[in-house]
Amino acid sequence: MTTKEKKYYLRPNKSTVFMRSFIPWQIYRFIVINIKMLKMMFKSH
Amino acid sequence: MERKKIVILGAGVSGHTAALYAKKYLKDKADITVVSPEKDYNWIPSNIWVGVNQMSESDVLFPLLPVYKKEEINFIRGKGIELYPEGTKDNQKSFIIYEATDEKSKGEKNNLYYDYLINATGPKLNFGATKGLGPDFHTYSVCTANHATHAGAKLKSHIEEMKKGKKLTLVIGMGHGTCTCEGAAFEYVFNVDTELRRNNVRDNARLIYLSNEAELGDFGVDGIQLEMAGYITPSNIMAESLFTEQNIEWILGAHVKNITETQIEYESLDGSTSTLNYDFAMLLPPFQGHLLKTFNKDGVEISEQIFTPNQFMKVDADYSAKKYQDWKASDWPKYYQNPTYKNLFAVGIAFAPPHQISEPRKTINGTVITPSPPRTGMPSAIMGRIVARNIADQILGNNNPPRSASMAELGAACIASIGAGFTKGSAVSITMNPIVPNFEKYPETGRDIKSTFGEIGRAGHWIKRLLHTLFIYKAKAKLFWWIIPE
Ligand SMILES: Cc1cc2nc3c(=O)[nH]c(=O)nc-3n(C[C@H](O)[C@H](O)[C@H](O)COP(=O)(O)OP(=O)(O)OC[C@H]3O[C@@H](n4cnc5c(N)ncnc54)[C@H](O)[C@@H]3O)c2cc1C
Repeated sequence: MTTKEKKYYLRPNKSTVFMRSFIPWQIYRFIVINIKMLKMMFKSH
Repeated sequence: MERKKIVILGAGVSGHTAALYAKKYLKDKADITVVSPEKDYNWIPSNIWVGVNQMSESDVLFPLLPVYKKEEINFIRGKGIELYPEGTKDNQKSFIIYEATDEKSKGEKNNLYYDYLINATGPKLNFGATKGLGPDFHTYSVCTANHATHAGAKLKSHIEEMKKGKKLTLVIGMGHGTCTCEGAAFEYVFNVDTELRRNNVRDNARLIYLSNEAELGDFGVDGIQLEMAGYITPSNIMAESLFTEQNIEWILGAHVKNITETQIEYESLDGSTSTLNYDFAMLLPPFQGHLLKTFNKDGVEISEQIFTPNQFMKVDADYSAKKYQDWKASDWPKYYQNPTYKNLFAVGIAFAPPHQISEPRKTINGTVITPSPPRTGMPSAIMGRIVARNIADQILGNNNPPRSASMAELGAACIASIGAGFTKGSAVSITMNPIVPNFEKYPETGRDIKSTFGEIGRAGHWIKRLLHTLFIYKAKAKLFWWIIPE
């Protein structure tokens, strides 16, 4: 893999990168992911 | 009536969980003894952060004895070496022989009788499988807290060199074609990347992920088709995107054959051999089981009946040789019980999986380059708990149907951190359900797409950090520890 080949890969745009560290959105995602994981864990128990 | 004796070999994720639950279910109705060589418990997933100097050994280790004292569980520092499931001709009571590892009685061998034995001895780190691999030779590891400390120290000294302008090549990945635990190497490469950026030396580093996976994001589970941004996305797309974004190169389908001080030689899936010059390498070893030499009551060795050639213990799985196309969810064990000796169990990494999960691949030279099946923390701990429950039911005379924990029914949450720090860390959060694809139940993707998803962001890092605290809290058996799911 070299950087020349970058065009072949999915890359996030600016807003996606921003949202990954935008605290209010991440707090919301923290809650959502936790609920999803807990649901999955309880299915597995 | 004499109290039943439960012996647990190994105080890692699965064995320690089994011991705590066995005590919780049975209270004083059984004697529970844990035999394990180290004095400390290691929360292994956080070794990654030790390996990049974001945590120290004391954050991931704690002494086991006070926990076992409080819980009234016997603790012997030792390692199981021989197994007599039928006892001897004179005394037909099952026992193991263990070798003491504590300072006072190191090397002494003793018998320990049992009514139920749980083998939770985890992996034997088989650095010997590849010439030059491992901390005794040329590469680093993060498999133990001590290994991770050494990796972290070396990384730190390389960062200092790069600050002075030196250009270095850092290789992270798998040290053999049959390794497992790709998730850990994946996590480490991103943590190293973050550490290099934090120190403003990323431009001086060539960072390479070298793996036995045929595709990025295979993770030893044949890849994952996950719900991401409104699409069912193969995990290789997600992983390639992330590697490209961070400018991490990748070499796949590689079986590392030989490592010298400066060069890694590997065979690729097309049968060709290549070399790679490097300055720092963290390469995981392949895992083997810990063989307990097993004898019948006549003293004849029967290890082959109980263990597979790579020394994992056989349980209620379907071990008949099958083609990839014929693999089924039902091949995977449910109760982790040995078919010959019903009072013998193996959980976590110690049980023998029926086959890989990833599609098996060989080079034209006959070299196997296929990830072995991962048995991560969550399923390992669940196996420990359900085996403890089933043994407790037998001892208490409960007529409950036995609990099962097949990896073709269990889900797993994998959070691969991308750096540490509350306002700096990030992570790839992936859940898959089940771990082993079940195409009979989910014909399209092998997994339940509603609970198989992936996401990148800071929230994942917070979850990973929270899990570190919760799982160590649970392992210390603090108040209401059992409320925290595995
Ligand atoms: C670097 C790294 C990162 C990881 N990250 C994650 C992660 O983020 N999430 C996740 O879910 N999983 C992760 N894993 C996997 C996870 O650590 C394992 O799934 C888990 O530790 C397996 O539990 P176990 O009980 O089978 O083995 P272990 O936890 O290794 O425990 C085995 C125990 O047996 C003892 N023992 C060995 N030989 C003997 C003997 N002869 N007699 C008695 N005792 C013996 C050992 O000392 C040890 O205490 C990671 C693994 C590694 C290496």
